[in-house]
Amino acid sequence: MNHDPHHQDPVGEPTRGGLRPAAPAACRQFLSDLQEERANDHGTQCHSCAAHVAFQLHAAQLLRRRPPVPAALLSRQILEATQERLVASIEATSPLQSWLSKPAVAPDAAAECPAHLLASPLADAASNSPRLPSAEAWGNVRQSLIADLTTRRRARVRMGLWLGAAGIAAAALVSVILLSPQGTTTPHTIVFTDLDTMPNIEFSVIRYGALR
Amino acid sequence: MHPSRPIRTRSFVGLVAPFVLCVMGLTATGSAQATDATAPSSAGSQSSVPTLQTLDQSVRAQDYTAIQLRRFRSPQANVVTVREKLEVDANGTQLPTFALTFLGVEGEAAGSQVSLEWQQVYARFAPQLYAHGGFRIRDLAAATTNYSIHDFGSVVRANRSARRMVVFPATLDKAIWVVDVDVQTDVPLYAAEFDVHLNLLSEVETIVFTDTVAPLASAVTAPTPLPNFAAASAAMGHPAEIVEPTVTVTNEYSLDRIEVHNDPLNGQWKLTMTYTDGIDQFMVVQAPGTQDLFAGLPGQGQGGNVIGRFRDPAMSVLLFWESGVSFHVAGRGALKRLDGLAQAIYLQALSSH
Repeated sequence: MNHDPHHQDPVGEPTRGGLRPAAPAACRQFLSDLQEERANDHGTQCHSCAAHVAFQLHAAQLLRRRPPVPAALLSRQILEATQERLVASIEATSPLQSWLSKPAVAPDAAAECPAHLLASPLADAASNSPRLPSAEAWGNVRQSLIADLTTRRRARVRMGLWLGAAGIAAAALVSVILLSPQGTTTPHTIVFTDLDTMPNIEFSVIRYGALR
Repeated sequence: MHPSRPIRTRSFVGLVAPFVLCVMGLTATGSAQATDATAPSSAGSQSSVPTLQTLDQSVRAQDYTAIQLRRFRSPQANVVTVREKLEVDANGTQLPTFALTFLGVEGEAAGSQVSLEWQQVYARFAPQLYAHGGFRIRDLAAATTNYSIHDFGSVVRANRSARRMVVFPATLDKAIWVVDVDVQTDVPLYAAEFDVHLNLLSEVETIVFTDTVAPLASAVTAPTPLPNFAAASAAMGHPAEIVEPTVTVTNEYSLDRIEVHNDPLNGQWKLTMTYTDGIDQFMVVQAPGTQDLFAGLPGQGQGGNVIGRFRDPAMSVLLFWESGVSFHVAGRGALKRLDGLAQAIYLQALSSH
């Protein structure tokens, strides 16, 4: 069979003598540029490359669509079985599972709290019990407390006397008001109104001679 | 011959003299017969100088008949002169039996409308005009305490010899009197009333005088005064609403007379209590069973109690009403203490009802 070096098989691959079809260098360069998104107008001249590009575009469109999940896979039994297999797989191979399965170990106190942090004056003061005051100091405190209590007692007695006196005075005042015969009377308001005309009384006759 | 008595307060002469000189000038314009008004003589220099005591004695004992001119001054300063005849029959009291007769109005024809009106006034109010409308010693002891009398010399009045006297009050909220006193009888022949501002408030002038009196055909005897408030209340039938006034604000005034009067037209009682300081007077009148004259005045409906007050130089009148009783307090214009008296009586009435 006479093979044209520019003959292209149906898939666009150039064939050479042998089983593997030979592809021209221009076609290979075009495919390489196509994968690396470089510009190359070889596709407009080569039918095989143009078909290859059209196939890729068509396949890309088909691959972008997510195929519908078969109804059999959406059944509850299938999903539960899948989840169980996932959990079993995780339990068998996960590092988290291997860490959780280890027993807890108490931390080393010395390693957690270094000695130099505990050796502060505040820690010494907190860890040591305070010294008790002397007997003389306790005596002074006792005397001051007794004096304070005495002063308060006298103030309470004095306040009680004042309150008692005030209460007696208030009671006496209320008694006087209540027992007074005028305790319930209200003051009267008297208003003078000047009259424009002479009143028609006898005294007007005495002074002016006539009732006018 | 009249008992002579030294003038009580000589220290007043210096104060009175300039005032009375003015008064004498004013008096001369109103009385053509006032003549021979000499300079004031020293008090007590003559044995015939009238005193408060001789004036008091004259009221009790002296009969006389006089033709008088009584001049009424209106608040607008118009003067009406009324001629009247006064006949007095002494009875030993401060208020003798008397007759006061209207004769006519000066300058008005007899029978004119004005003359008839004044005739009616005299027919109705002659007793009040005589009792309260002129100078009179009403209480000798009180007058001696509250007044001084000063001699300002001899004058001729009604063709009779007279002494011009000035009766001066101890407090200046009362009238000052200029009185021409008949030398023979100690009857006042002329009396003019002035206030402290020299306003002439009233005037009575005798133009004809005789010291005798004919039997009185229409004599008026003053009603017998009641002895006290209880008697007056009993005479009125014990009305619970009337009060016995407490006159503490006018200490020098004492109760002079208590009279009750029953109006024959409507049967209404009226209690008149007259107080005097010896010469001056004021009245407290209570009339139970009357309507409230001030019921519609502002303030009366708001719990306030209203006293209606009329005051001019000649008179002060204070009217109020409480529990069916109409009260009025009336006196001379300068006596502003009557305001306090009316207020006190009103409070008495309010607290007793």
